Amino acid sequence: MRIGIVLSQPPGYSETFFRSKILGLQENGVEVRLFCQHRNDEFTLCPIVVSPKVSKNPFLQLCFFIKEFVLLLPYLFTVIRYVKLERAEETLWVQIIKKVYLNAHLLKAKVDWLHFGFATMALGSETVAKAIGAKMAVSFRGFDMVVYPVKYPGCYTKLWKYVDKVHTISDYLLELAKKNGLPDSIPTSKITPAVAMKIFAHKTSNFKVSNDLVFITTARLHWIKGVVSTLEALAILKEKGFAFTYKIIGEGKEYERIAFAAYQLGLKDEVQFLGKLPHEEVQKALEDAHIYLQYSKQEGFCNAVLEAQAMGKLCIVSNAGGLAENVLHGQTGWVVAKNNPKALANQIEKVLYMTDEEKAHISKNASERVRKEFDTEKQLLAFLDFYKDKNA
Amino acid sequence: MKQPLNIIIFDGSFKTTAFINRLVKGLGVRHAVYILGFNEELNHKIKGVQYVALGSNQSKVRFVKTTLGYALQSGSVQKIALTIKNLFQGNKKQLQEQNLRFVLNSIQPDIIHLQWPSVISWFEETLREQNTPVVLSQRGFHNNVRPFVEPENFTYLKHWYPKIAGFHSVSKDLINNGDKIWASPSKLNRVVYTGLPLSDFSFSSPYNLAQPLKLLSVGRTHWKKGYDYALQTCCILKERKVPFHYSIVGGAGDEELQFLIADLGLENEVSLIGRLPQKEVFRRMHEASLLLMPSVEEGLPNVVVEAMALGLPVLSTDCGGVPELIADGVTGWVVPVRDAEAMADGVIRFKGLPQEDIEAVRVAARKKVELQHSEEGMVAAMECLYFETLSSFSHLKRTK
Repeated sequence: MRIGIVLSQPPGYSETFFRSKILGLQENGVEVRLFCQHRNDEFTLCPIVVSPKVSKNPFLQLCFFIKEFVLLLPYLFTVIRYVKLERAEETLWVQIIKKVYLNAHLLKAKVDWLHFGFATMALGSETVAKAIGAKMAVSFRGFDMVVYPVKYPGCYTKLWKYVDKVHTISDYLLELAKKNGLPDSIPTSKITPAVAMKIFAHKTSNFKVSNDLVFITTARLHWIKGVVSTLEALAILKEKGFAFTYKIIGEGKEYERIAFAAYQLGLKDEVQFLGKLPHEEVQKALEDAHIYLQYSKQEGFCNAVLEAQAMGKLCIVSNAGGLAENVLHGQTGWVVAKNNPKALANQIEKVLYMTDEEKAHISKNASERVRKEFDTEKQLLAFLDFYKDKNA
Repeated sequence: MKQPLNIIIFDGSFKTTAFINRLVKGLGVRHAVYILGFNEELNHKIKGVQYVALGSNQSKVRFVKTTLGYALQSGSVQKIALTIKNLFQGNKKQLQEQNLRFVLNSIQPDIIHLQWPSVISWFEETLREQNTPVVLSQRGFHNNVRPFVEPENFTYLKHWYPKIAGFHSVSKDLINNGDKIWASPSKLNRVVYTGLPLSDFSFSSPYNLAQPLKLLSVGRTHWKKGYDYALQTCCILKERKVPFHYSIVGGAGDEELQFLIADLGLENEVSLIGRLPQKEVFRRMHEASLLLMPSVEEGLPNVVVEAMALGLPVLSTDCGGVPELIADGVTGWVVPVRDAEAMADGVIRFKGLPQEDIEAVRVAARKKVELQHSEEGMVAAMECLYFETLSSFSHLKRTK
C-alpha cells in the first residue's frame, strides 16, 4: 500500500508522534511519501515531494508555470479528470489553471491514500484524490475546527463532499466538525496521539517539596495556551504566601504579552522563560517540576499533557477542548473550568495540601493509563486499520 | 517674549500621529518646525511645517535622488564618490545616517524632539556630542512594557537616558516608569497632557441611557487593549441576565476575539466592527451608554479623553495615566486591570445609577478634559519644556 501524507513541512525531530507513525507504517510494508511546501534536511525517514513554488517575480512565475505544465504532460488524463471535477464544481477557468499548478505535485502522485495532515491543508485540493484515483483522508487539528471556521464559515463544504474517511484525535473535535457540517455518512476514526513509552519512562516521583516548588508548562507562547490566565492564578497563590518557580518551555510571537503579565502581576522573579528546548532537556525540566499546568483556552488534545502524565507528573489542566478526555478529573490529574484563574489557584492549592500517598496514587494512575491507552504501538495498529478499511 | 526656535520633530515618518500633528501646528505659529522622515507618503501636509526627506524607505528612485542631492550639495568630491559607492553596494542605513547628518548640519536646530524611545538609535552621535539638546517623548508601550520584558532594551535606554536633556511624558505614571530606567535630581521631567481641539468635540446633551445598555470600545486590536477581559466581562453580564450589546470599533477580523466570542457564546451580544472615520466614531459615541476601556497598559488613552469630551460616561481600568484623568465616581469609574468581574460589577452598578448622578459625572468629565487637555495648553506646556531644556542644557554646558 502507498500512502501520501500532506503536511505544510516535514515533522521536526521532536515530533515523535509523526515520526513513529511513519516508521511504524514502513515497518509494516507501507510505502510512505510526504507532500510538503518546504523541504527540511534533517528529515530522512521517507521521500519528500515539494509543492510548486510561488514567486512574486512575474517572469520567474511564468517560467515555473511552463515547467510544471510540461512535467504534467505525461499525466494528461489525470489533469483532464481533475479539470472535469473542478468544472463540475463551477470553478472558474482562471482558478482551475492556478489550481492545476498549485496541485501539480499531488496530481503526479501514485498513492492509494492521500491523507491531509489537517483540514485547512486540504482546502483548494479537495478533488485531487478523486482525480488521481486515490482515497482521501483528513485529520483534524484544533485550529481546523475551532478557529478557522469561525473566521470562514462554510469553508469545509467542498471537503465534506470528497473526503472518504476522517481521523480525529478527540471526541471534542469530531463534535465540532459535525457542527461545521461533517455529514454522519462519512466514516470517522478516533485515534488519539500517543507517547513512546520507551522514551517517557515513569520514574517514581518524590512528591516532597524540599526546597523550591516548581510549576511547569510546555506551550507555544500564544493566547490560545492561556499562559496569562495561569500567571493570574499563580499571582493569587503568591499573595497567599506560596513561594514557587514557574517554568515555561516554548517560544512564540506573544512573548511580550506573557512577560508583561508576569511583570505586572509581580511574578518577574518567579517566572522563567526557558524557550524552545530539545526533547531530552524538556524531560529533564519536567522531572524536576512538581506540578504540570496546561490552562489552555482551547486544545485539540494536547500531546504535552500526555507526555507529562506518562512521566507521572501531577497535571492540572483546563476543560478546554480535548483536555478533559486527556486528563480524567480526580483520577489521572485535575480538570478546572477554563478562563477562571481563581478556580485554577484553588485547585493548585488543594493539590499542594494533599498527602504524598494521594499524590502518588494519581501519578501512578496517570502513567498507567497513558501506557495502556496511549501507546505508540496501539496507535500504529489503529492507523494500519484505518487505511486497510477499504470499504471507506 | 522668548526667541523663535528651530525645532526638529522626529518620529521617522512624515505621517505623524494626530497628537504630533496638533502640536506642530501650534508650534509652527511662532517657531520653525521641521519634520524629518524616511517614510515620505503624506496626503495632507501641515501648513507652516517643513518636511525634510532622509531617503525614502518606499521608493528606490526617490532614495537615490535625495541621497545624491545631499551629497552634491555638500560639494565634497570625496563624499560624492563615497556616496555613489555606497549606493551601488546598497548600504541604505549608512546613507540614511549620512543624510540625517547633512540635514542636521543645514538646519542647525535649537532642539531635537524625538517622539519615541525606539528612534534614539538614529541620534546616538548627536547625543554623544552634546551640542544640541534632545527632548524625548516617553510612550506607553515603549516605556511601560518593552524595557521591562526585554532586558537589552532596558540596558540600552539606561545607557542613553543620561544624555537626554529633557523628558516629555503624557502622564505622571509614565514619569514613574521612566525613572525606573534612570533617575537623577537633575533629570528634567515634565508631563504634557495630550491636547484636543475641544471646539470640535460637542458635548452631547441630553444623554439617555439606552435599553438594553450599549457598551462601546474603540481602538485597534492589540493584546494591551485587554479586549479579551472585556469579553469575559460580557460573559459574566450574560450569566447575570443583564441585557446589553457590546461593540468593539476596530476589532473586526481579529482571530482571538472571534474565537472568544464563539467560544463564550456571545455572538448575539457582541459585534466586532472595522475601522471607522472619526465622524462615524463620534456618532457611535453619542449613541452609546458607556465606554469600556479594558486595557492592561496605556500611557494615557486618547479615546477616554475623547469620550469624556463628548459626554460619554467611561468605565476604565486603572492602567497607566487613567487615574490622573478619572477620579472614581467623580469623572467616571475605575476598576483594577485584569479583573473581568470587577468590570462587570462596574457595569451593573452604573446601570442602577439615577440619571442625575450620571449627568453630574458627565459634566465633571467634560470640565476635567477642558482643564487638562486643551490644545492651547498642550502647545504652551511643550514650548515651556523646550525653553526649560534649553536653559538647563546651556547651564550644564557652561558648568562643564
